[in-house]
Amino acid sequence: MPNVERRMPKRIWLVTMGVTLGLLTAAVPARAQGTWPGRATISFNVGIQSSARTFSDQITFPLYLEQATHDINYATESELFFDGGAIVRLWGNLGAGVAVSRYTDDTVATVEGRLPHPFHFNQPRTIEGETPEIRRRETATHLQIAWMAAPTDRVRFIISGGPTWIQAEQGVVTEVRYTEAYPFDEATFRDVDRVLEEETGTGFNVGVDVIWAFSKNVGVGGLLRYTRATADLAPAEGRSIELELGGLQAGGGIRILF
Amino acid sequence: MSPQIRRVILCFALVTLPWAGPLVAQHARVARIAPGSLTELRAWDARVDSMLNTGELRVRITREDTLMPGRSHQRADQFYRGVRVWGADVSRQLSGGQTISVFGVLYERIDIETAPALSTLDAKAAIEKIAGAKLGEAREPELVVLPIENSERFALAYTERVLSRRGLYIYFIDARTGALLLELNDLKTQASAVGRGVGVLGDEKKISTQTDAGAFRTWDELRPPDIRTYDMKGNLALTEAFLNGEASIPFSEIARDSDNNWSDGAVVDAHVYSGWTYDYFFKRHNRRGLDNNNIRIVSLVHPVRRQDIFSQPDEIVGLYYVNAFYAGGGVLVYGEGLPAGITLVDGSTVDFLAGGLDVVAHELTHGVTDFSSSLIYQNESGALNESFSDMMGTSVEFFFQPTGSGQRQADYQLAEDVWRPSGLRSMSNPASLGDPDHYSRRFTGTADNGGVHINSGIPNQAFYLAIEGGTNRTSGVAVSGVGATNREQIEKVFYRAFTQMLPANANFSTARAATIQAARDLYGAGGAVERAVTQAWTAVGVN
Repeated sequence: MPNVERRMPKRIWLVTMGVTLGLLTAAVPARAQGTWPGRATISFNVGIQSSARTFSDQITFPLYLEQATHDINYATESELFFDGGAIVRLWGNLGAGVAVSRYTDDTVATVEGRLPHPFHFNQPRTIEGETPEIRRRETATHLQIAWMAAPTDRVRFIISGGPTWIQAEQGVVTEVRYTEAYPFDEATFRDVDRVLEEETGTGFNVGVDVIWAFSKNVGVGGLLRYTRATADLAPAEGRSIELELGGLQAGGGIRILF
Repeated sequence: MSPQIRRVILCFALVTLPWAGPLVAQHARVARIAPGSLTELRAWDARVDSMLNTGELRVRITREDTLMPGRSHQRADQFYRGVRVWGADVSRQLSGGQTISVFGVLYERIDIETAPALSTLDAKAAIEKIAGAKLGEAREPELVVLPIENSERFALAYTERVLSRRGLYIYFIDARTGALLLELNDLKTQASAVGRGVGVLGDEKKISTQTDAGAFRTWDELRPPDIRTYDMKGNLALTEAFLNGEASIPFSEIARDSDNNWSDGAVVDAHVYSGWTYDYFFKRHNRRGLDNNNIRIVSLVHPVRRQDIFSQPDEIVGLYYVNAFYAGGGVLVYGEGLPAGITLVDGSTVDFLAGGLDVVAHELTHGVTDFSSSLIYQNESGALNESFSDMMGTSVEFFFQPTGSGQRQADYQLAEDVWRPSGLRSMSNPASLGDPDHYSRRFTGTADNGGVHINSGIPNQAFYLAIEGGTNRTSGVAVSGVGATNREQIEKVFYRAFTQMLPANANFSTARAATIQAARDLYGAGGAVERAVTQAWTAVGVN
């Protein structure tokens, strides 16, 4: 069974919360929470997507009258994400919008294989290897229902949430090559064949965007968004890999206010 | 596309030779016949009929369909002015006079002079020169029209298949100049396979085989040497003729199984244990087979039939039923054992001799001795010869089997798995089976080549004591062995001494001196190994 593990680096939490609190405390509490002064906002962000996870796959095949296995362990790391979106205020403080984010990670997969011996039962040889540049790319589309507030003239924030669709591209090992020779007590990992599998997962997003407006139409913002979806890859008959997609996105960028 | 056509295409892909000369036609065309509709089928059918009438196609063979009664398959070769066009033929499926399918490759617009400048004899001589091999008198190169790959041209060529040291090749030479136009490697290699076998004792094991024409044969291709096991099917005449060099055993006698699930225990064990013994010598002693040069290992099983035992003379029973032997040159023969319910006078039952790992390893070790010290097979040197085979036979058991006293467990009894209940000899207590465990009790008669299978008990006991330690029952001398976990040390000492140091006419004292020297060489003078070896020989009364 695929094994999925999630971690959120502490530093990302700290940076994100720091940015958020800083922007909030920098705001002048000149008036109580008020109506969003404009009609819409467009945002462009760059930041870190926390996606440090591991997951695994297993290739099995008959070899020398027994079952050979290759356990493939994949790992994704926290990497930069890029994001752009727009939210339109529809009624009062309520708005709706859409954002698109992209995250790309090239990482390493490790292979641990057990190969039956050609001359003896129950005496498998083990092989180990690594294969670099296993690609994970997530292109996420976030639909958002937003609560838009402007507590001061300069500080605004948007709390949003909604469904997310994440199109995932995942490099998957399809075959492990190895060498063996008499007396066959050892085998050596050589390389792998891999393909880029694509699948789309459906999930959700929740987030907060804190904006510091320099002027009537331009500002900067800090985005903290958590998005999650899952997708099942089937690289071969009888094999299934459950991908956990998304993660905590922490970043900032330009805001154009209308 | 039929396999025949695929082969032609594959072969043409190998064409690499230059081509020029007057016997060349330009702008030929290849027609690949694979009708996609009934209309096309009828058109090609009519064309084939027409070509058969004019002699452009000549039926080579017509065969009944083995799967669909009433259908037949006709194969016809293309000819141009009476000369066969190489690789051009048609396969037509017929049913009740109706053509069901047509496939083929034909060449069109061939325009080539078909009178060769070279005679057949000249061509034969040219091919022999190119191949570096002589052809028999009956062999005559065939004149063919050879399509030249990717050139839309043809050459008038002579072709012949020649087996040489390079392999099996089909040669094509220019019928005008004798120059080589094309050579194709025609050796159909066979693939190694791993099958499942059940041994004499009912145990399941992997068996290294070779695929051959849809079946499997006991021909090990995974190990460096050629290891084959022949099923003689009770053909004693052929067995004896082969052993005497009067006849070769046909390839077809290599044991065969249709699905690679082998149930003939004697075949399975002879083949598998030969491989294991090779592995032992390779891994433990870095030795490559019997001659250290991967000489072929040939095992013969079922040289006689069990049910024929009652009509066999005593010497045949003694040789081919209750015996196994190394016949020289890497050839081994494994006895058939006794039928169920028949015992020896001492009450022992004897199963297929190949079922004992130590038996197989023992016999193969005779081959090792044959190619190394060549210990003369009589008196003390003969006893050393036998003893070394017992030592290595037992060592192979300990290498592959768990220690214990049951079947397929490693112990110091010889042949106990098939010669039940006690085996033939005991290394830990030779006297228990009537053999001497001390030099003072040695056999001094002339029987058994001077007691080669009897006095082997003395060095056998020394080998045992050097490993396990203990006290010799006759002398009462105690030995501090190296311990079972260090058995590798004693195995290496005796292997080194017996294969590299002993002269052919060595006696027990020589063996003592050689093994002590080997212990010093390998593990240092005055060490535990030398001490164990020295004490062991002293304990058995060999000084």
